[in-house]
Amino acid sequence: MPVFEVSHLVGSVDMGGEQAQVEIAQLVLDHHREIYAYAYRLCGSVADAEDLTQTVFLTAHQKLGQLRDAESARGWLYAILRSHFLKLCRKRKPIPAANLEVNLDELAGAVEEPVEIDRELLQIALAELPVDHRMVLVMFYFEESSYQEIAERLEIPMGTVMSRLARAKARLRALLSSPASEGSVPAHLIGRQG
Amino acid sequence: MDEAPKWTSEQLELLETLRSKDEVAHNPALAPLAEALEKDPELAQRLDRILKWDARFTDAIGEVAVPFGLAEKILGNLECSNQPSPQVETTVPERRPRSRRRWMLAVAGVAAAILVVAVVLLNGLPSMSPETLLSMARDRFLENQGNGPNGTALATESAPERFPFSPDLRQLPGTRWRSVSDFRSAEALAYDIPLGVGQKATLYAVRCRANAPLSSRPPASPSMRTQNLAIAAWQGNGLVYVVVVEGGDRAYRAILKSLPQRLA
Repeated sequence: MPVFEVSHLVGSVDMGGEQAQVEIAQLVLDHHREIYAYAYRLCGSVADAEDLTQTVFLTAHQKLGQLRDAESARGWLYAILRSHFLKLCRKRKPIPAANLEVNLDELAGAVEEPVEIDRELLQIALAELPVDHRMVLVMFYFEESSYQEIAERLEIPMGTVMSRLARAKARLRALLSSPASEGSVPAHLIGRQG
Repeated sequence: MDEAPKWTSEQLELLETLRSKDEVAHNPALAPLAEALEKDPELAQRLDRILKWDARFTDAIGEVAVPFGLAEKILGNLECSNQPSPQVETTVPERRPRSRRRWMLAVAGVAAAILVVAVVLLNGLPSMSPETLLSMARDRFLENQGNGPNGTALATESAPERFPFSPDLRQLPGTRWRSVSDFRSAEALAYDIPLGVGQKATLYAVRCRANAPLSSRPPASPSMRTQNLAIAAWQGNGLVYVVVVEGGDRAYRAILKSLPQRLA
């Protein structure tokens, strides 16, 4: 059973005048699962999610001094993750304009009764969304942030968040709603698996 | 034939931001929407369905299989990044290559010996995932919740040496111990710790292997929160410890010995 010797992975942080030891190893052990899950939902690939998770903890290690209290560790790690993810997206090839279209009519369309959600199909559907819509959606569902909090954290107007959130949710529901029986792959997603 | 839109885009967008129906009732800024929902059953049904979808998405989005050994990989990379730079190394007295090689061989030998001993010691112990350990402890705790104090008072008789109390928790007066026979196939001992006001915590000392890394001390925040219970697992003394605390995070932190130096 692996036991980590953490003494050499300890940083020192000023917490209200008192020096407290911040253990990066403890942060990793406590939070790596949720950081990976968040990264996976944003990136959609295991390799990218692993890389992103590694980068998050590397940055956290370098910037431990920014962490002021235990309660904010999760939010702080999430913020690092979002920042790196957006940088990664900017570096990569721009997404073709056609993929950025989110059907405006979908917002006003009927909301069907929910179906059982398969986690892999959910990932395929998430990948269909433009990055800025996906980010807002993952913050809403994964972080359970309000639209006001999302606006504040992403530094964008609340109206923009509301619009992106509403359209992204409508799109996601439309992608996952299946005219066939529950459990089958929705017609929109056939051929996009794997 | 196209119909005129029934609702404004503002109404539709607002519906999508809501977390519950109560939010509409309690927020004066949403009074017009509350009125519209009251008058329009179709709009109310739409909100119902959106909230149901939201609940399913919230559950599903967190369900991600984490690659085995990820924490070890991250910690390994952090260790590498923590190695002194070449410039720093120049301050260290220079060693002859042969002695360095000999030293590295010795370290490798010791590491291999430790690994062999660890494999021998751990062989035969049941293996469980941290999630299983947390769930098992929760279930055992809930099963025992209605029962009065049972087991042996620690003050009158020590617990078996193979299952020592965790040195990272406060051993409060009135703590009792008892064996647990149904922790899957693992041998286990439970310490019931009275917390006052009718609440208690139970520390399960389990002889098993966690099949994913656990920290060597209790985490500063519990790993599972359910039904006002805070649950966390760690390893030490050759055991896996799982504690279930009634009263949530605050009660959990209260029984940790060294919270001020820890971060979640």
